[in-house]
Amino acid sequence: MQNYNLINIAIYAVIIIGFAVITVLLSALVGPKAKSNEKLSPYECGVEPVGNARFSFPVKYYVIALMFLIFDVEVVFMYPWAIIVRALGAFGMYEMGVFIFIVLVGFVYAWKKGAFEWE
Amino acid sequence: MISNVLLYITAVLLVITYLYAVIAGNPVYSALSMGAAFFLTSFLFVLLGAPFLAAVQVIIYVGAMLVMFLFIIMMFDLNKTSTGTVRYKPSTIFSYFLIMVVLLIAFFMAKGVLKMPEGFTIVGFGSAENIGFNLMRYYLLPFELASFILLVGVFGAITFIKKRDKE
Amino acid sequence: MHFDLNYSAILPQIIIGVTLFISATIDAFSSARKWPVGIITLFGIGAGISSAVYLWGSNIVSFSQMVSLDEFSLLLFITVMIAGFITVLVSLKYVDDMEPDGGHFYLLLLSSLLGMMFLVSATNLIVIVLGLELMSLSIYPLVGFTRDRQISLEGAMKYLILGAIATAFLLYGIALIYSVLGTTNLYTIARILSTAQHMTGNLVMMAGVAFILIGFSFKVALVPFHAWTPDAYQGAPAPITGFMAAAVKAASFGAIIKVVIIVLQSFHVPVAEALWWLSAVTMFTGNIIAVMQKNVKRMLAYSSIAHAGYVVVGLVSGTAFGMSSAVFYLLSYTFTITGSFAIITYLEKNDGTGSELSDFSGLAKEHPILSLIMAVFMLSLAGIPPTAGFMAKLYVFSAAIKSGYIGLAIFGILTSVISLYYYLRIVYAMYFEESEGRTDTPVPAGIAAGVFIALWGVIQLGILPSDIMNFAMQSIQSLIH
Repeated sequence: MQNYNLINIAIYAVIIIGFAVITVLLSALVGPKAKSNEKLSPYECGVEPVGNARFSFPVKYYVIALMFLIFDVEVVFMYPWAIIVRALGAFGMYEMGVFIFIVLVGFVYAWKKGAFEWE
Repeated sequence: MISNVLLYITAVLLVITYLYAVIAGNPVYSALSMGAAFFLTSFLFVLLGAPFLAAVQVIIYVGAMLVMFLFIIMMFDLNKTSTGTVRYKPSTIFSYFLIMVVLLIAFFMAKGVLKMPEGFTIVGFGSAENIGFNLMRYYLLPFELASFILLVGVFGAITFIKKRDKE
Repeated sequence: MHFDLNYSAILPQIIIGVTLFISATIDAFSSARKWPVGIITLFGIGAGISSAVYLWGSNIVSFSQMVSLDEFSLLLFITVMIAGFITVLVSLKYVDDMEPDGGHFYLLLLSSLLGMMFLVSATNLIVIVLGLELMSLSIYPLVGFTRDRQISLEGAMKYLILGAIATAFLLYGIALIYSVLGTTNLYTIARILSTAQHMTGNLVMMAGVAFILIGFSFKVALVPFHAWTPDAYQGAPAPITGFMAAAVKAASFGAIIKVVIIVLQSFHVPVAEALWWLSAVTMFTGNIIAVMQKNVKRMLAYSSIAHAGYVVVGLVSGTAFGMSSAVFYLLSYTFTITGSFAIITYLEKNDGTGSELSDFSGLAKEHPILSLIMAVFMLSLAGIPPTAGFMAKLYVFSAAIKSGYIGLAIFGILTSVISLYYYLRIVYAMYFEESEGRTDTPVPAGIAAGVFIALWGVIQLGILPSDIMNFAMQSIQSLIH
């Protein structure tokens, strides 16, 4: 399996985790602390928090997430294809064409059925 | 050696994160813990020498599935959920341990017999090129079938979310 | 790795796939009434059946040994497509009544057919999983199609979760087998197993086979993996219940039969013993609980569990004749159950009620022909001559007796005597009970056509079974060669 040296990955991981931990710790230790009611409230891009965050969101978010998931998976299939597309030649284009066509039918269908409309 | 150490660390963390995903009372904590577990799973792929699968694991599971889970959780009324841990029925825990025991027995039985068949290890196995060639040649039909499953995903979503003109 | 493409190996699938695209396009660009989509679907399935008949006798393995087109897959193609055809006929009016914009009903039906066809023609475990998933993922939304009904969504949810667990079992089993043999190709697995005697008693292989068996047992609803069945069958729209009982079962059993014949004939795991117990428990439990049901859909759900047990009797015997009788059983059950649910579809009201036993009271006075046909279907389910159900049970039990499973055959006959009680209760209600006054709507043409096709099948298989049985024998022979 060893195409690459695992020690590199280990060092890399240690540096990343170390960086994250150290920066958070440093700012907690060094930074000045001025606690007020305003500062302890959740940060919402400068907008005053209104009401409870725990209400049930509309189902439309779910549709968006699902469509994203579907096309995300589609794109993932294209990575390995893109690397070898020259070696595959024209036939590779047909294969991917059929694949994209099938998913595209779903896309057009969802579009016409108003899955992307936000009302 | 170092891969073994990394493997065991990952395995322990995986068990902890998945366990917390199961017992956390707050579903958002559950989902986030599962996200951590997805990351760790991708690290398992790295250890196995399959960097492309590791990337796919992150792109699909952490990037899309987790968002999906969170959106679904947001559709619940979260005020009803507890913040502690979920209490399972004794029967559930019992059946869980039963399955665990069966799987463990199968695993220890397997240890002696499992060996890679000859000609099984391929140089560059798990690389994106190799997966691409396998997918586009040998596994062409399953590859195209997968697109139909994605298509059905669209149809299925339409079934439940389509708004109604008449009402 | 051998790489070959022979498109005629998946010709029926291509036809169904193209129909799916055409139907999706028409559905996307058409207005409220969706019966034209259904008509296109009908033509597509008809073309699929014709292509399967036309290809009869060919034996092609293609796509790197991923699928095979042999008489076995063709016969099961025809079975599931007949189920789909009748279901679409029955649903033409139903869909428009239930959902204002319900064209996706036909699309999901087509995609589930596509999944079933890949499932039964697969010669690679990966294609089996993908086919099974394509089929199941299409069926889940169909169960919840009538989404105004709480019971419908509940059934879909239960089916989804237990179906996902079943797939997990199946995948785990396949992973175990792959970890031992390093391949998912059924022919290669069979070759390795036939040469490697040391594999006998390999526990990992056994665990793998057991997990695959559990996964499929969920899909065909064998006791004790049947928990989802009553709720999903009762909650689903009536045409879909018929489709699930007929086609999903036929396709899943097709995959089981294929795996058992190709792989397990050379590998001695105690599959027959496991199936023996499963079938006995399934026949008993399904029939006993069905007796207590007041709702006809739920009753037929338990009855379908029991029928899965009878099919397994054919598998237990293990001979070519036993397997053929199982295939014959699937075909006869397909006709009978889709026909029965066509009639239930007619009786079902828009809010989902109308399938109680009391709703059948006095049906004979208002619809004498419909009641007569329903009675024939019920007799076929119970296994009374001269119907398809009788011949199917006869073949299955005689295969079991020939292989020496006399106890199982006697037990099966006893349980089918129990089943007579609840089938005849429907007949009794139709003919001897007073009607409670129902709104008299004419029988839609689609339902009438579907019922008559099913009736033709039931009578044909009941009176002249030998031709069809020959086809079933040929189909099994095409797997053995």
